[in-house]
Amino acid sequence: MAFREGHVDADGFRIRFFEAGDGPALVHLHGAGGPRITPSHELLSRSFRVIAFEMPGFGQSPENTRSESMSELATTIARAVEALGLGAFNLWGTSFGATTALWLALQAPERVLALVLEAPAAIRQEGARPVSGSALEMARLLYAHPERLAADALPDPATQARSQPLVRRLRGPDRDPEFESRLRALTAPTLVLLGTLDRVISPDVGRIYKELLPDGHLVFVYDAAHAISTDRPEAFSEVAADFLRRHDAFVISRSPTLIHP
Amino acid sequence: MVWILGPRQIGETTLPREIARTWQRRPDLFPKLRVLTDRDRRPARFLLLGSASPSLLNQSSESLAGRIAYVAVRAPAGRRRRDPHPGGIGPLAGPSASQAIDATLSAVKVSFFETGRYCPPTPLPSEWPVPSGAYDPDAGARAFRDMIERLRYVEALGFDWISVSEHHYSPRILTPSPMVSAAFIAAHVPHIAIALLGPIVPHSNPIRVAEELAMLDTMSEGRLVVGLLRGTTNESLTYDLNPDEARERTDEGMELVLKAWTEPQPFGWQGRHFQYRTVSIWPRPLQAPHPPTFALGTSKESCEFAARHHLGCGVSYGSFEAVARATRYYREQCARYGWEPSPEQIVYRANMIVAETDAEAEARLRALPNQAPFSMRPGVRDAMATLDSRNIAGQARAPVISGALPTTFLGSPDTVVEQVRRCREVVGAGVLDLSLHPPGSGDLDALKRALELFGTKVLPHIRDI
Repeated sequence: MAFREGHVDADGFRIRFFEAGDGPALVHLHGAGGPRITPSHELLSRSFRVIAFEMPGFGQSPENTRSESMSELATTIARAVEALGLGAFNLWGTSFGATTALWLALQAPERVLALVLEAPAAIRQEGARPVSGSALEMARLLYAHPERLAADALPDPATQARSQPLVRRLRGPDRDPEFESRLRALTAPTLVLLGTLDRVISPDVGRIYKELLPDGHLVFVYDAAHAISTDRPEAFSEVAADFLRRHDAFVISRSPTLIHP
Repeated sequence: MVWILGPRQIGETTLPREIARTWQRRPDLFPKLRVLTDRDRRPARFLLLGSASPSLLNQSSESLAGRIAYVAVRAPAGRRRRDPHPGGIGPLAGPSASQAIDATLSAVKVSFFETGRYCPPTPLPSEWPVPSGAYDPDAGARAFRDMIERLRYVEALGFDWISVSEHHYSPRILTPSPMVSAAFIAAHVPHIAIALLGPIVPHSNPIRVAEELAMLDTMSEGRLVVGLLRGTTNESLTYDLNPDEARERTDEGMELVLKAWTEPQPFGWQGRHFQYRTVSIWPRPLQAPHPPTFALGTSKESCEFAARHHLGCGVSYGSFEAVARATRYYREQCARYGWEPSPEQIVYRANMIVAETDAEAEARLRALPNQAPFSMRPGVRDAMATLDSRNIAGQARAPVISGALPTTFLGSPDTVVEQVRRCREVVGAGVLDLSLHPPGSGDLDALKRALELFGTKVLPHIRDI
């Protein structure tokens, strides 16, 4: 399904977004590398109306010097979603964008139906560093199988560099006790996914989310690195869609094993 | 005069050189023996062999008191041996000869349901699945050491079976692999039959199940009893079993286990849910054609499967009247397939609280929590309730998800004996598989007291029911 490009004005920003599919709304917030339509976006758009924002200061947008905190950025996005006429919606956040998603869910709990956090960067192991370097170096950090990537899918160091000050300003400390204590009150059903080969966020931090979130679930995606939705798109989309549809009950398998009738 | 008693074909008649005619053929034998014995007072002039039914013994007006000693030879699992030989004869059972006779001739056999009894050093989270991080390895090691000590005591008290089950992700029952439990118990507790009730068939590889059970039967020298089952509702969540398919996978899996045990030629299996191009298991079970096997469950499907394959039927936890609907249906189905199950082919698993007085037992029941100790999240629980269809002999039955399992034997030893008698009549169960204390309780002293009370004040009185 082809994603069409659109723009929405919110909070003084002109915000670009990509949209495809029908069904319940699924808003996606990208990682620090900026927006990219992955095979997972395509797969999820088969059952959801996927709206992937380009957050102000990322991708082709001008540098964002206004947003002072993740909380502010989350408010901006919430307004953008509202401007699109969406009441309640599902929210998928990737890495840096997963932190934005958590802030948004804390600000507007009644609007977020469920959360999918792909390799979230809100809680980090000690000494974690933002992804930087040459395109190839970044690809090696982000992907378990960079050799499978098309050349145009490699991270663009120039784009990264432009949003770097914003990322540094907003990413917060590795551990933020006040933020973490607020997560204990987050009621939205939340799925935390971590790749077993993630070299940016240690998969071990997953257990902290599991402990904090009242309705949190933790899933490790085998043989995926930080960019789970690109490394294992079928695996990622299947569990994400199942969780968004069934929330807690996604632990009950509905997969048929019939070989021959 | 010595009478060696044993179930048929376990080898008791191959042991001696001289063979007397069996009691069954000559009920008038005892008076004659009395005369012959009294003529010549030398010990052990007559050796009597063979199995006998309790009703025959009771019919006898001549008890031969003071003239006869009984020695019981048990085929502990109660079935025929494939290859009887002196070395394969079961050990002399029980702590005394008289108890041994009871064990052999009893109409109601008793099984102790062993759950591992983990005693958490600190309070645990209350939700299922319970996080593994809350597990204490030392407490776990202690649980299994205590288990062996307890089970040796159970054997000495004269119980007929020890049973183990398969449950996952819970401190309440620390036996996720009943195969491992059974092997460990078989190695440490020498005589008693070990009932594996049972592997959860639909989420297992049936060939692996057949192989491991055959190993266990062989290693335990034919002490294995097997129950195959679909599993409790929450077990669909372990190993990702689709509840819609649980019944079908159970039926196919059980049939495949039986086929793997009994088919002498390598075969392929073109199933609905399982597919193998070649199967030929080694070892096969020691007992022939296979260990005593039960299909466990109250459902119409389970009862029909058991009847069709000449297996026993196992029911659990419901009231006598509720489970009796299933056992009645099972017997009807057996009749349809042209055979009649023995009482020993119906096993009833139940909770029992026995105390010195009725009042004390009732007080203990009231002190128990009225809900499952580790409940599922509401969203999961509700979804399971709609997906997990269960029935008693065809009548829909709500799955037990968050409630406590009922206690159907409750009271003083006398009261409990009466309840066992009623159960025998209503349910028709020849084997009771008992939890004598809530399975999750870590109060081992209370469990030991319950065992002692049951072993001394109940067990001796339910042998002749």
